[in-house]
Amino acid sequence: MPTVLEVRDLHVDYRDARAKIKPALEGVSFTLRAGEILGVLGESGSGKSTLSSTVLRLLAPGGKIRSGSVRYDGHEILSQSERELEKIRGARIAIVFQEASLALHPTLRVGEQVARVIGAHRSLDRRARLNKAREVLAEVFRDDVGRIFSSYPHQLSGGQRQRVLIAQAIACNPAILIADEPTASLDTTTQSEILSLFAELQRRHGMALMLITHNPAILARLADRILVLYAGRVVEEGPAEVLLRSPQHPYLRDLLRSMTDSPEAALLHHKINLPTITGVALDLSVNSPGCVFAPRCEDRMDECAQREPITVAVEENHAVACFKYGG
Amino acid sequence: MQITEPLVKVEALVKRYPPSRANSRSEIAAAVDGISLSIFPGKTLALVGESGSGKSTLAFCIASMEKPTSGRIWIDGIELTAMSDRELRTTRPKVQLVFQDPAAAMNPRWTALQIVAEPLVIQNQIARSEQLDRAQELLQRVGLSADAGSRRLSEFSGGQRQRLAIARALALAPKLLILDEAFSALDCSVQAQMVNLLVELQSSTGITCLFITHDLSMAALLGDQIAVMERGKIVEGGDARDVVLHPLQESTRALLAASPRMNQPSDIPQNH
Repeated sequence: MPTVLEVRDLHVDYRDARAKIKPALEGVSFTLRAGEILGVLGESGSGKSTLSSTVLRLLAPGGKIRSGSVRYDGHEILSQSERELEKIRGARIAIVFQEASLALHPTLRVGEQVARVIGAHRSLDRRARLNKAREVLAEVFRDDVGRIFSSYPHQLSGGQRQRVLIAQAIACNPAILIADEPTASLDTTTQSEILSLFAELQRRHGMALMLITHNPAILARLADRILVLYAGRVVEEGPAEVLLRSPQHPYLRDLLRSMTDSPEAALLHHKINLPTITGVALDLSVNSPGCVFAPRCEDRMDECAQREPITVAVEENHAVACFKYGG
Repeated sequence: MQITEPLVKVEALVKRYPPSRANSRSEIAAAVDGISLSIFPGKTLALVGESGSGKSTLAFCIASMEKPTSGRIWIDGIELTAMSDRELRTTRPKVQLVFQDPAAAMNPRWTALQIVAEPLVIQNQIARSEQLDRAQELLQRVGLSADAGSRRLSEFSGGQRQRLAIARALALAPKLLILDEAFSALDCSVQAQMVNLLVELQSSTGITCLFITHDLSMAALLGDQIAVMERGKIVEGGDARDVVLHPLQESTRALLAASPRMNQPSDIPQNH
């Protein structure tokens, strides 16, 4: 599969109000291939949302890309002019955020909002834009398209609003779709439906999908490959089935152990202590030389406090950053 | 043998809201539509359902934050639905709530100790020094470090804030703790820590819990009983094992089928 996005040695910092520098990403590298679903697994503070916004250079104020490279289709995103970038954002690389209610205009009808995305990238007259918007909405709503088209966002449910955002994202047939916790605020049934929709659209459009989440169960269902982020570093990367079945990095192993596989499996742990990862993630503004997971790691060795492990391949296409495997 | 009385008893509870102006043509919808249930002392009832099913409205009625349209509620043998607003002030401390976003109900300029001591300060039944001692004790109970008391909200993570909320909820030694999607916004590893905390608190204090969630796995972890709510009604209820392993209703089966699973067949064809 050809590569559609190549991220190399990305370093991103945030500067807070007191100009204190806090690293968010430290040397993140990965490749996204055409037509694959890459799951990015990370908890709060892991840098997963920084990663998604860096790819489109949409970092929040205070964020700064210190070094690295993000290459899409021969373009270096990090050195492109804003004008060049506007041709890529939303057209070639699109993004869906978690809070659909914040991403939609409250006083514009849904059809108009989808049509504006199309108008930003294609020179079509108003009628053609609206027709195209209706077509795109029909892809994400099985029925009721007419009503949805002329609705305002507040007249829709959370799941329907999320579908509208997805329609905007696929409207220009992007090569890459980034979804950042797209189902985190939805309830169980709606979450399941939206995930099916992603799978269906990804197949139909042949897009590469970067699915960012804290929940391994979502990736168990959708991802081809998984990238595990912890404290701004990629700690493990490999095929989804392999990582979820036999995790190698102690963080991933302990994270999966703390979760129950299903409601049926949860019964077996009813009111019994679950295994957990003790402590909290490292404060990244404090410089420490060792492995970022060492303070919470059950397999900690002497060298873990001395320097950071490098990433080593444990088998084909499966890499881990841990001294247990050489590091 | 002594027969245990339920701590919480709800009988034929109905809560209707007047139609909003924007929606005035619609009929008056019942958010809670004839619910009866019991929760026994020291047990947890997990209330499961999709958004809009009426779970929170039911919780608000039990916590005397909403007045039911009809029906009766007893807590600890006292009938709330027969009390005046003034009388309810004395019973409200028996039921405490923890929500999904605790920070929304905490003063960011206060220290953790002030936040947790607030209910004791308002009740003002023990000396000031005793209030602070008790708050310090509560911080430790929920697993926060000894120096947490002097820190402010912005210095706590999501999981730690939820611990603060639980500490504050326990300050008045309630009989019933209602957790309304309290763990839903937390990371998976933090959820596991919170589940352990709740199990530990329940076994050491014998507190009764109403655990509201849309996640059946969470319900199975914590609920002795599970009740499934849909459109204001409880459509299925019983021992957690029975509900999860032998669901009788279509809506329970649909919830089970939609639940995230680590070992499920993938949505993606395997040949690419």
